[in-house]
Amino acid sequence: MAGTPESGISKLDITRRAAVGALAAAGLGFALFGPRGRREPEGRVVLNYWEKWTGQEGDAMRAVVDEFNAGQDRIYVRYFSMSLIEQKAMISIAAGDPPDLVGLGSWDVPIFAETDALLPIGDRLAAAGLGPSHYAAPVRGLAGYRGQVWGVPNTCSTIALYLNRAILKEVGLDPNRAPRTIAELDEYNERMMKFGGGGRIERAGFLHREPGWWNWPFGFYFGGRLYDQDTDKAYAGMAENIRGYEWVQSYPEKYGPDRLTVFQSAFINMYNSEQQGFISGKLGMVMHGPFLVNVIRVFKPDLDYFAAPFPVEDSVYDADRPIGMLESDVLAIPRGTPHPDEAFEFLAYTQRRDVVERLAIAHCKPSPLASTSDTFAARHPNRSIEVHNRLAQSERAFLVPRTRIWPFYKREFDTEISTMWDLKAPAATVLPQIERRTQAELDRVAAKRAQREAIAADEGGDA
Amino acid sequence: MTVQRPAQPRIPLWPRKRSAAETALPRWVAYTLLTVVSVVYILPLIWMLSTSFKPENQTQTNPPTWLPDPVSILPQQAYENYVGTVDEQGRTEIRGVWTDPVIDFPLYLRNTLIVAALSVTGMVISSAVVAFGFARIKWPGRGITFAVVLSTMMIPFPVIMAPLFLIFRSLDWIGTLLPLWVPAWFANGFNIFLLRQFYMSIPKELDEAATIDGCSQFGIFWRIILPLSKPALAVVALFHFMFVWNDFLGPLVFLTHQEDFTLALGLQLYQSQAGATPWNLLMAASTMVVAPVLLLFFLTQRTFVKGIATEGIKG
Amino acid sequence: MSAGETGSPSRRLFSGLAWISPWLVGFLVFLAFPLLLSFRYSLTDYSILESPLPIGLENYRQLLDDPTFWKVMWNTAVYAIFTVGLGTVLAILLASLLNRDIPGIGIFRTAIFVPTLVPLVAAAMVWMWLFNGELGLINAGLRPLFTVVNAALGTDFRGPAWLEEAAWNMPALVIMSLWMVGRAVVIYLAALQGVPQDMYEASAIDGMGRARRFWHVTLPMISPVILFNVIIAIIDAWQVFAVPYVMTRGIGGPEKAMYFYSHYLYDNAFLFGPRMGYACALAWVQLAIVLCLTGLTFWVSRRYVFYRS
Repeated sequence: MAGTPESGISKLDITRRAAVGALAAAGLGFALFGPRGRREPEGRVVLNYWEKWTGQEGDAMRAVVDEFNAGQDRIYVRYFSMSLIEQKAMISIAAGDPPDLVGLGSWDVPIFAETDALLPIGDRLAAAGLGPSHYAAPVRGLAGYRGQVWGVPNTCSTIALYLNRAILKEVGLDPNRAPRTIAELDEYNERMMKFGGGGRIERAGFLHREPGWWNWPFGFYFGGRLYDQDTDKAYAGMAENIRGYEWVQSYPEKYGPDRLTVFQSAFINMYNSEQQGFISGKLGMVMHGPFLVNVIRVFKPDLDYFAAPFPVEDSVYDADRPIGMLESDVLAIPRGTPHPDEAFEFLAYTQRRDVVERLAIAHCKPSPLASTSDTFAARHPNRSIEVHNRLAQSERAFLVPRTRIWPFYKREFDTEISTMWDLKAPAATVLPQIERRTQAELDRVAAKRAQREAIAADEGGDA
Repeated sequence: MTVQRPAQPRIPLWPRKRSAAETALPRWVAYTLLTVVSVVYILPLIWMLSTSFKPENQTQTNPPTWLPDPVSILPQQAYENYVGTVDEQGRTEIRGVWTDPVIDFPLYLRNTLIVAALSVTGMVISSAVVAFGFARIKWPGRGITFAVVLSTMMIPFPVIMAPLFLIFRSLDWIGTLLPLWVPAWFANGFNIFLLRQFYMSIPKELDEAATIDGCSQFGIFWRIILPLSKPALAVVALFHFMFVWNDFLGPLVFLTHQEDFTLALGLQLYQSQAGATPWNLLMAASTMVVAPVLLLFFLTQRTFVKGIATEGIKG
Repeated sequence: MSAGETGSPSRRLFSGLAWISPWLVGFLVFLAFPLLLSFRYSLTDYSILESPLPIGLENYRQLLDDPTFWKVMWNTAVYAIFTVGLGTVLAILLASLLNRDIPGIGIFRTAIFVPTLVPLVAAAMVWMWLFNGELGLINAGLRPLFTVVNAALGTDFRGPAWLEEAAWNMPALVIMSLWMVGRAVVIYLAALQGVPQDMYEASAIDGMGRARRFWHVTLPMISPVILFNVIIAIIDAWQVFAVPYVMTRGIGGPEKAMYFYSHYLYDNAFLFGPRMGYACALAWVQLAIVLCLTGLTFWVSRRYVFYRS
């Protein structure tokens, strides 16, 4: 450092200056002539389609887009994989610069619908023969909210328990039988736990926080619920939910919260990877959706797995009416797109049965449609797809609470789950707090809604 | 902030002469301490580099290793991690950072460079002009205005990001790169201050001589002040470039199209995308974002260090 | 007289304003106007997509009852106190350590400075990896230590999952911020070298020891620089965003332990609702806090900062 005298320009200085100049020139050159966004063919209406899927799921949707583009010459759809898609879409719709199509989740529908961020397309769908009867009964309503249809449920999934047969065999359990009740699940877990030196956990049976996306549904397996749309009430603190989260807390109580957390940190947030807990054999069982099979196919095709409805508390067990979360993806057209007709044309294309089934198969998910082709089941790569179908058909399938404040409610669980997991406070304390905060937010939003409606009515009256 | 101004100390750069305030630890103690501290400070970057050269499964070793095993796979592995391979149809064969199918790093690099070029140019020109107005022209209200300039440095960006978003929205700038570089053409407090200080160190006599020769204000600025201020302008350019390269919140708020993303935002997207990015690839991507800045630093150390020292002593 | 100092006051005013016009326009459009706009919206309920609904001071009132607001205030204050406090002490110590003329000192100075160049997003990635509970370098380094300690004391200490266990989040972030003190070190180094030789000679005559000399001569001499840097550090710490945002994938960490003021503001403005009006109220409170802290620092400094006349 500082090898040259302050005065006078040495050779080193000149070399440095030349290097900085070269660097700047290279940078400028790259800025001017570097890669550009993908180019689209001229003379066609270009639609920007934002979708949350990446990886294999993204490739599958991209293939549908490519086919659509090749099949006609008026419309050209550009596919973008986005993260934080609901935020980005909301912001750009608000900014008047929306994409032409957006792939949301069924849980995003309430907030987008209430703020009028999407085009209602119920009439168009009915005219195109894609009315409610086109879809399987359970998913029919998922893209609707307050009497309007805001999109189409283009894929759907239910959440089940996935098990690793090899581990079941290893610990002497029946490799074809899944635990049915919470008590059985605990027993399975206990047998699968494996410890190394110093009490380090080397393998666990079940971890509530893997994959970490669903921190809120555990009360449902005990007969609880979180929200009632008709009364606009939050129920996080009800007794069933408290029992559910007391069960969650029983694991760190037994094995030590820090031990479990350190164990999980090796594969935390590693969904699409060979390090993923279930794939690497560090977890014998995991709560997951059918799409897990896609990761298995890529990273460990010989993994011997099967799925079953998630175990429930003994008192609510009913083999014919399993309990599981049902969610769907929703393809929608944002308000403000300059090309609603073209966007709808693409949207309708994606709802043809052959296209839907191809996508469902590529995603390893059930079909959201009312009828499936004869070969659908045979072609399906998820050997447990029947379980997912059954869960979807069950009258006790549950949905993400359908309220516009879901991001707020979900965040409460996402952060408070650690309070419970780390045993800082019992579920009986934490959950009522969540309920109180959420109810306050629900009430605030409802009051604002009422005020807005009153003002709108006033203005309507004046005119 | 202008109320009290400490005396301006001299700013020697990485000096060679013995300094008075020197600590008087025995030399071997100083060396030991310095070595330990330096190793601690550099280790995270070495670890980043080391991880970026490994195959994914070797990032899972416990205790950790520093080199891939066997070492001979390093060049091939580095190529696969940093570049990756793509078949003729453009489909990914080996997932590497540069050719990632979703996160288009080459495009993000280009966007970053475009924003950097436009905003650095704007910042240098505008700050140079505005500083001249504060350093060389005596006008009523100059003092108080300058105090306002300095106080703007205290306003955190998060305070104005939400209303700025609304303003850019009404200008139809959301979804373009404009919000990231246009404001740079209107100077900022820190750079105005830095250049004003520098201008004031240029003797007034030069201006006066030029005025007698019939030079206009602009002539003085253009022919005398600017040529003499090159080192200070270089500091402004360099720091602003670093700011653009680093900026995360601005792009996060104002960019909605993935095609417009900058490197910092792209890197975060790479890490947070559904699924997961293995640690070796994440570290390779981080290395790619860090490397240009380090290179720039090693070529311009002098300007850098001088600039920071000046910044800290403004009081 | 040069061109800028002649002519009538109004003429000079005109040309002065002409020269600073770029800043003036920018100030009005990109700062003053947004601030006013922000205040206006802070009195409304505004989701961007629906029209703003005037609600008076309700947003400000709600802030007081909002547990998350107090949580992020607390987190941000704790973070600011520890990073600014420890960071300042460490930076001055490092600067004094580096303030010697020995061969190879440039290498040490570079080593400590280089981390500050790393873009924050990249730095967050690197430290997430370092802090990993099972595979991270930090716990791997601690493991032998714990093995010895545990064997001796029969205890069961283990490296924590720094970013997943709430109690360890703040220490982790502070440690990381200490890694990035290089900028302050360079500034203090320059300040130390600006302390005039004669001050030391005088103190040597008075027979002061080295430690006392550092305390009674060096520190007062560089106190204006310390003041300035503490102000900057407080303002910076109060707006911390990128690192915890990236490390927690935008969630704010377990038990909201890594949820900071700017992040909460961002979530309200662009995610929860969005609640632009509430976000604007948060922004004004943030501004008030930063101004108060700056004022406080000045007030304290009047007693302790030494200015040479």
